[in-house]
Amino acid sequence: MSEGNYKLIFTGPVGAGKSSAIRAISDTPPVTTDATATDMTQNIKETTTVAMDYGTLQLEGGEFLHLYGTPGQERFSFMWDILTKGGIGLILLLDNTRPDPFHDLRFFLNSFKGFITTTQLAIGVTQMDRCANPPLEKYHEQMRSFGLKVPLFEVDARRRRDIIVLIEALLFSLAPNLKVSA
Amino acid sequence: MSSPLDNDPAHPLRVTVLGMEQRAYSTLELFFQNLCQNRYLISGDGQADISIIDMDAARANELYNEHRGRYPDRPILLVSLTEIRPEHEKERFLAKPIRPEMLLSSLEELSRLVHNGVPRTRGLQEGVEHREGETGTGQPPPEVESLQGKPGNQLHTLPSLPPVLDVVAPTPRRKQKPRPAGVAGDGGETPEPAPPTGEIIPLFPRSRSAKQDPPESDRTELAEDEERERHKASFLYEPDEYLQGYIQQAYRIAREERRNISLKGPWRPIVLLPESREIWVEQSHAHLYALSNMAIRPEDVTVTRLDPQWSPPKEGGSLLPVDQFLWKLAVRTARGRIPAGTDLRAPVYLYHWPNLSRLLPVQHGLRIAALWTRYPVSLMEAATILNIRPKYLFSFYSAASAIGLIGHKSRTEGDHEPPQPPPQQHEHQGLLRKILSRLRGRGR
Ligand SMILES: Nc1nc2c(ncn2[C@@H]2O[C@H](COP(=O)(O)OP(=O)(O)O)[C@@H](O)[C@H]2O)c(=O)[nH]1
Ligand SMILES: [Mg+2]
Repeated sequence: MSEGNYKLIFTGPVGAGKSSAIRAISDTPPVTTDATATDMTQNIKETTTVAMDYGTLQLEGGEFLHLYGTPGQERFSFMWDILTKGGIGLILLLDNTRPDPFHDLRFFLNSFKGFITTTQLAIGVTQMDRCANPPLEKYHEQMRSFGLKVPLFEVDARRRRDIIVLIEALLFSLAPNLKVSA
Repeated sequence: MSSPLDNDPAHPLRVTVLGMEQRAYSTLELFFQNLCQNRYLISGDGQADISIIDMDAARANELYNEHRGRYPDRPILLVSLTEIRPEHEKERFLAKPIRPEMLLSSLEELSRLVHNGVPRTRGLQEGVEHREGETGTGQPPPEVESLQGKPGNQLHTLPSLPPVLDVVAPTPRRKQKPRPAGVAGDGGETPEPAPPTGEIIPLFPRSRSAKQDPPESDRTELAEDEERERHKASFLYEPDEYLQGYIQQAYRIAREERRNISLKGPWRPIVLLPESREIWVEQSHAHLYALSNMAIRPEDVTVTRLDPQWSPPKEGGSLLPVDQFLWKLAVRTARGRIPAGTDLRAPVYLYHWPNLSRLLPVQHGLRIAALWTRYPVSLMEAATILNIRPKYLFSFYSAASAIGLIGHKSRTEGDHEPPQPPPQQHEHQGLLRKILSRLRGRGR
């Protein structure tokens, strides 16, 4: 990871809240090259639209944390390796209203397996206000079968506070004894 | 022997309360205001007729000596978990947990000794009512944001008081196990009959706290070492004596039986809904949380199975996730303590991360969760690794165990496994710290 160029990656299916999450915490208005959900299902040329989000968080000393949102469509999977290079961790957002959120979970865990094993993962389940089922308990069961015990919270991607808690949990997973100034 | 002030509601007796932590103090205050018809009034110690001293407070003896020195003639009520034989003729002892009727009769007795008919002396210090300093040891623990509110104010509107007032750490070595709730005339000695298909379910069967009792050897040590017990008592509490424990037990039954369960006690109706993992409460949350530190007798609590068709009324009351409610209640009940019987040296881990985005924040909660989900280390080791005060771990531990997330590895398990390597410094420690401080609104 080159000095002053750090990345935090957000991923998840369309509608899970990646754009919202980045918007909620980015210093600058996020750049979103967003294919709409309907676009994503249309048979458009891959080169025309890559649904991606980009935002920044300026740190003390002038460094930046770059925030990337990367879509879950398999056809963009070539992007994932490039994007995750130099990433400090992965935030996976899952939409609880989707027909099979556990399928999404497994899909992303597999897709980002390499990245997850070298860094850390935190999961936010969104849209739980609209659909409470499955409950978080069931996600934990799924995670157990992967042998993973990662931060997994109910979040509303539009809420800055929720996204911050998720990122903090990711940071402490990377370093539980991270010293925090009072 | 009767004082001119006796039974004169126009001249309430002034009582000062020393060494008592904030919540206990608020409870007493409420008690005096609501239930004593203004017979007693809390006042500053300079103006008081009678003093109540919590002898379990830190530096209680010092407090006592200083107070007695200043007011050699004042009747004093000494309250403690352990028996005290007063040496002064104007002193009485009252055992915790404090029961209102006992408190009243002790105060009545002491009130007859007030001034012996001599007019009251004005104190040297002008006592200010409800001075913070007088509440002694316990400020609400700083780790709990919502505790910074005004519990006193919330308490004022409580519809009723539970029959036990004490809100101080109960002794971990109780002589009597509480009797199961809801069983009339139960002596506590006979084995519980299996719950009939009837409505009332006993809470806290006799075996209930066996798991939590300290090992036999520890108990003997305790019995031999009063000082240590005192010390222990300051950071231990019995969840089962409080609303927290009753809700946990009722919820456990509800889950086991897969039925909605109602919990009745000195509060307005509470219903546990295992299917949706929710709790329905009629009372405002503030009221219920204010009850958190009041010891509740099992005989005042009943648990009933509800008709399967039951659903929360459309109006009044509120429904919320039971974990969210219990976590907060446990934090408020524990106040930096851990359940009695917790082994400080046994490695602890979390079954999974608590849903920290929706739970009452506990100071250092994210760090503690990050540690305990990956490294099973004891409470004491965790405090060292994270370099935080044990009370923060205790709060977290109590809350997490209330919602069933705490797992234990026995201390003797295996042949003393080498402890997990403590988490190393992350290679980008500096960066992570910067991100953190940026997220928390500092540094740019
Ligand atoms: N009700 C609800 N809406 C949400 C939540 N999180 C995000 N949204 C909304 O869901 C929609 C999809 O979010 P978006 O950020 O565009 O998802 P993306 O496709 O992953 O970038 C937007 O309208 C958001 O405002 C949530 O937790 N609850
Ligand atoms: Mg988007």
